[in-house]
Amino acid sequence: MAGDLLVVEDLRVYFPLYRSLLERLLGRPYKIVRAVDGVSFTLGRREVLAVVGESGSGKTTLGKAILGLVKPVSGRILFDGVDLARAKGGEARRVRRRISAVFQDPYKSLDPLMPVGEQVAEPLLIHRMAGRSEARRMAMEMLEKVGLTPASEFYWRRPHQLSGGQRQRVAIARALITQPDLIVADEPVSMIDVSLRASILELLESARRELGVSVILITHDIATARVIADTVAVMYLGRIVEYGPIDAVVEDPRHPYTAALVTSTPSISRRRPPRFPVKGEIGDPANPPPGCRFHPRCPLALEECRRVEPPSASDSGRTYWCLNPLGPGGLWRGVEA
Amino acid sequence: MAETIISVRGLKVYYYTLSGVVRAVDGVDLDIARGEWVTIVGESGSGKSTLALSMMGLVLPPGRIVGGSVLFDGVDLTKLSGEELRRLRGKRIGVIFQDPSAYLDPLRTVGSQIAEAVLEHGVASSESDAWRIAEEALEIVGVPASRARAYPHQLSGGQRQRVAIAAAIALNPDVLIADEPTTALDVVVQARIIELLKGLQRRRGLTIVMVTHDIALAGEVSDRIAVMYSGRVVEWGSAERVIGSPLHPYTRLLIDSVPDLWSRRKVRSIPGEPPDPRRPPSGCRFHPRCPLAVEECRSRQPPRVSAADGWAECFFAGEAGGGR
Ligand SMILES: Nc1ncnc2c1ncn2[C@@H]1O[C@H](COP(=O)(O)OP(=O)(O)OP(=O)(O)O)[C@@H](O)[C@H]1O
Ligand SMILES: Nc1ncnc2c1ncn2[C@@H]1O[C@H](COP(=O)(O)OP(=O)(O)OP(=O)(O)O)[C@@H](O)[C@H]1O
Ligand SMILES: [Mg+2]
Ligand SMILES: [Mg+2]
Repeated sequence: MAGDLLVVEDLRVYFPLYRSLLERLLGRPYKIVRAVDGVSFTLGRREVLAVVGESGSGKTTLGKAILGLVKPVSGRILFDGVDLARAKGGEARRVRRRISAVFQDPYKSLDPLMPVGEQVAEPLLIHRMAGRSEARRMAMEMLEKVGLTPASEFYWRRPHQLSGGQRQRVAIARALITQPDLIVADEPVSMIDVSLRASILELLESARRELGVSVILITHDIATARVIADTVAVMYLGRIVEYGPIDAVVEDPRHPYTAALVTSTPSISRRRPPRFPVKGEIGDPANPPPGCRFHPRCPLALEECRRVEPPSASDSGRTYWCLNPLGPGGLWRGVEA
Repeated sequence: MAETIISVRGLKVYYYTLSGVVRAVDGVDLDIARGEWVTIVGESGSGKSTLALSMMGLVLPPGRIVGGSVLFDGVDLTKLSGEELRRLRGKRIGVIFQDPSAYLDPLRTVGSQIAEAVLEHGVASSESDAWRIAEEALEIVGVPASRARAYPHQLSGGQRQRVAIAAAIALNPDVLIADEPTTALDVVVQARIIELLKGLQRRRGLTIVMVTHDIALAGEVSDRIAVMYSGRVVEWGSAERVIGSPLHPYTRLLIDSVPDLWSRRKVRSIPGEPPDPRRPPSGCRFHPRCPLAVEECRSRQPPRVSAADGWAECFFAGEAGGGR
């Protein structure tokens, strides 16, 4: 669509798997991990897309590919119509600075010696978007906006003089200062105290509301995702297995893995569906099963699921890849183990 | 209520660090009944692990028990020698941690590690007996006995945690201390591990003391919940009541701060920051962040206000709306 900010088409990112010396001496072939293996989606302006899924399903790799931190083996990423793999020189820089990142561990992503205010101002200098004093003024303003007040005092603090939640606010301020159109936030609250997570999510939400940024929120916690996301992509072993408006996908999923994910998430709510039973342990991305990658664990698997890669299907706004999906309301009726 | 198996009285565990004395557990009383599942919840650094591990007499340096007692089946663990404690642990109190790799030997098969512990604690008299018990324990936790000859790295994270549970239950302990046993696992795997533990509690009458920061998980699985804040248990009671009508403002705010997948209520962070355990606030430790705080909260330790199923340490806990 013309109005979309980001279009990802059939993206694939593979990594070579480490071989032991013995394996190399024996001439064993390289194995590859298909971390992202044919992912497509679009992201609108001001949209918050959550990417959820099991550990190792490729969420971080997808985010890194969009940030240009890993190189896809195939597929396309179009940002505002520009193909990120093809953009060169000035155009590449102009596009790149419109995409910012927030990572899980704010301690690792900040320089321990530099005052945090200077770190917020830094991207403006790197991208030559402001002079030194202008950058400082804007950084003060941004610190204020993310709730680090009084900004004139916080500006000069070092990361170790801040709490985990405050450090993540600094990281978000740094991501916002260049007025990006897109923020890729990879597990931004996982290392924050539970009692403070909501305020970090609220910050991302207000960035969307007030600054109009789009957000890709990568998280393993679908309850966190539901707080601020409009849409959700559920990943399993390198693929998206279900995609759509988050309320529809959570309340009335089609894909059995989504059903397992939402019904396994702890909850104290009285109104909740019965647990959807799955077998086995988490899948191995270096050895994905043939056919549907979820079939070995799926209680609804048919004979053909072992052989046939499920094509996409659509149903009231959501897309899913499954040959034997749950029907409407199926989640709430439950399945025999 | 059934017989008490662990009784914690006035317990204080402090860490003596270069930057000051950390009052990790600072005056805790709890009675845990045989066969129940108790979960300790609270923010990072509130003292959950320190409290749970001290229930098996385990205090790591530079920590010291500086006051109070821990009675396990009537025996004061704080008075036992290292050797006596070691015998009790394993045999009567098992433990699992967040990261099972930390105590599984990477160079030996999981079966032989379990079998060795079984022999050491005299649960089996011969090696073949021990091996049989190890295989049985693995089957119980859902790891095929054929995997007994696997090395830890050949297993998935969920399987390794199952092996850790197998190692703990092979000795048929009365109590299992589980410190964040599923935090490193995916929710789908977590759900199955929790089901497994629940089954062991029901079938064997195993007492479980679990530590987690996930209050929804605590609410789902526990019989009773202890809510910790800055070294103290500020609320204690049945899981249903603590979650459904908390008495302490901290408990209420903690519940309101975490997203719940199935209720679309708005989440709000608790204002302020968790306290520095080296300099806990005066009076009620929660007062700097508490919307209900009055002058008295700053100056006096609040009384323990009883409810039918437990208590809360708050001046307002007795009043209607104390937890509102
Ligand atoms: N640089 C790399 N080299 C080799 N393999 C990698 C690399 N980065 C990721 N992988 C592998 O790719 C797969 C996907 O990893 P990724 O980190 O994207 O998953 P994830 O969904 O973010 O998982 P988590 O929830 O644990 O963060 C995993 O099997 C991982 O081991
Ligand atoms: N070995 C140690 N040496 C010094 N201080 C310690 C030690 N272990 C714990 N502490 C401190 O004691 C306090 C309580 O720690 P504890 O690990 O019991 O908390 P917790 O509630 O389990 O936290 P978390 O959720 O992060 O695991 C913290 O301030 C911690 O930094
Ligand atoms: Mg990741
Ligand atoms: Mg702990």
